[in-house]
Order: sequence, then structure tokens, then C-alpha cells
Amino acid sequence: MALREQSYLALLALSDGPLHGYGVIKAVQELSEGRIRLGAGTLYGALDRLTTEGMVTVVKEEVVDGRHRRYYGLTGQGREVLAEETVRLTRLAATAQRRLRLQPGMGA
Amino acid sequence: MMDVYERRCRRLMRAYPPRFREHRGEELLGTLLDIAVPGQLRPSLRDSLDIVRGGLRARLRGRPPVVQWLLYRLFGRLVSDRYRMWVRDDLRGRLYIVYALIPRVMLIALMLKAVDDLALIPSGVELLSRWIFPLSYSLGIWSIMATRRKACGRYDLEDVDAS
Repeated sequence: MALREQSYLALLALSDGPLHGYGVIKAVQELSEGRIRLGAGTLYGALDRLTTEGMVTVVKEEVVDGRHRRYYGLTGQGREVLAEETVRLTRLAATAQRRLRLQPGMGA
Repeated sequence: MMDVYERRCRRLMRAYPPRFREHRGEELLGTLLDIAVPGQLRPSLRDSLDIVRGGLRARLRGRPPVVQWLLYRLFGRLVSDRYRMWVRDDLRGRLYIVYALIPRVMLIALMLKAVDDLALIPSGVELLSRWIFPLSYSLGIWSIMATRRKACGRYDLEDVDAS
């Protein structure tokens, strides 16, 4: 199953351990080298979907300085899907590199 | 204490259905406060659009399938239990009376008209054609009240007053 890039990055962000919403936004920004800053609406849409599909689960809730926070963690299934998707992307990138090397005008 | 930024966020969050706001609203707001820089007065245009889009998507996701929705609107047939919170929000909605009454009244008026046209009523009795509107209207009101009572019973909803 192919994941959307934002879902893939959100899962990847959670692979190091549970994070709250803002934590996921920051982690995704780092992982994408500043290219992607998830908006809050997009983030919660993705988290909702991933939760419904059983890839992510709420592990902790707390209130810090009057701000409500839920921490999300990867489930076993989430980790599995993340690993599968990573293999798929790696294969795709390898194929892409091979093709580019074969192309004339690329020093070949 | 609620500052300007928070108030604006809450206003934008009205794009989300009430069931979402009750359950996740404070958390979403917390994240919006987290991404704000000190002194920021309003969410950026990009963030605002993102919240509204997220809210509309959440509304679409929680809707019953179109056939169930139509049967519910027209005939008051209840949708499956997983959409009970959607029904609760629907019954509580400010425009509920409009959404619910218009299709019902139209349907009843059409049926009464058909009965009239098929001359099932003895000629000379012009009661129906003259009374078609008030009759459909009252039957419509009666019918949505019945649906509301039925829904409250089946989904175990308390206090769904539209007020």
C-alpha cells in the first residue's frame, strides 16, 4: 500500500518514540529538510486516518501550561507499513539512479 | 484568559463538526498555540486555510453514505449506529429545521398532489388542493418530531434541543 508523503513522514517522525502534534510538525520539518511544514488541519487529518487504520495510537494525554496534548505512538502495524514503504522507496530510488546513469548526456 | 490569536483560532475551528471539537478541539488549539510565534495576532493565511480545509474534510468523513443520508432526510429512516454522533450534531444544528423540514414538506406535498391528481378524492371535494400546503407543513413538522424522538431513543442521545 502506497502512503501519501505526509503520512509517510508522520509515521517516520513517530518511529523514534511518541510525539505530540507540534512535535510531529517539527520532526517532519527536519526530516524533509525544511521543505514540508504540516499545517495543523492537515496533521490532524493524517493522524485521524492513521489512527483509524490502526497504524498510530494515542499513548498519553497531558495538559502543559493550559495546553492539551496527546502523544501519538506507532503501533506494530504502523512500523511494518513504514518498513515496507521504505523498501519500496529505496527500490524506486535505485531504479531511478540506474536509469539516469544510462541516459546519454549524463557523462555516459 | 483568551487572547486575540486564540479567539481567531477558535473561530476558524468552527469549520470542524461539534463532535470533533468536543473530543479534539482543545488538542488542536494547543497545537495552533504551539506553532504561533510570540505576539502573533492571527494564524497565517496558509494555516487558516489549512484549518478550514481540515474541518470540511472532517465533516465529509463523518457523513453517512449518500443512500442512508437520503433515506434519513426524506423518510426519517435512521442511519447505522456508527453515525450516531453525526445524527446528534445534525439534530442540534442551528439550521436543522431547514434541512429537515424542506425535503419532508416537499415530499409530502408531492404525494398529496399525486393523490389529488389521480382523483382518488371524490370530485367536488376541493379540500385537498386548497389545504395541500398547510397539510404538508403540519405533517412535515409531525414527521421530523417523530424522527427526532426515534433517533434519541435508538442512539441514546440526551438533550438534543436545537436551541
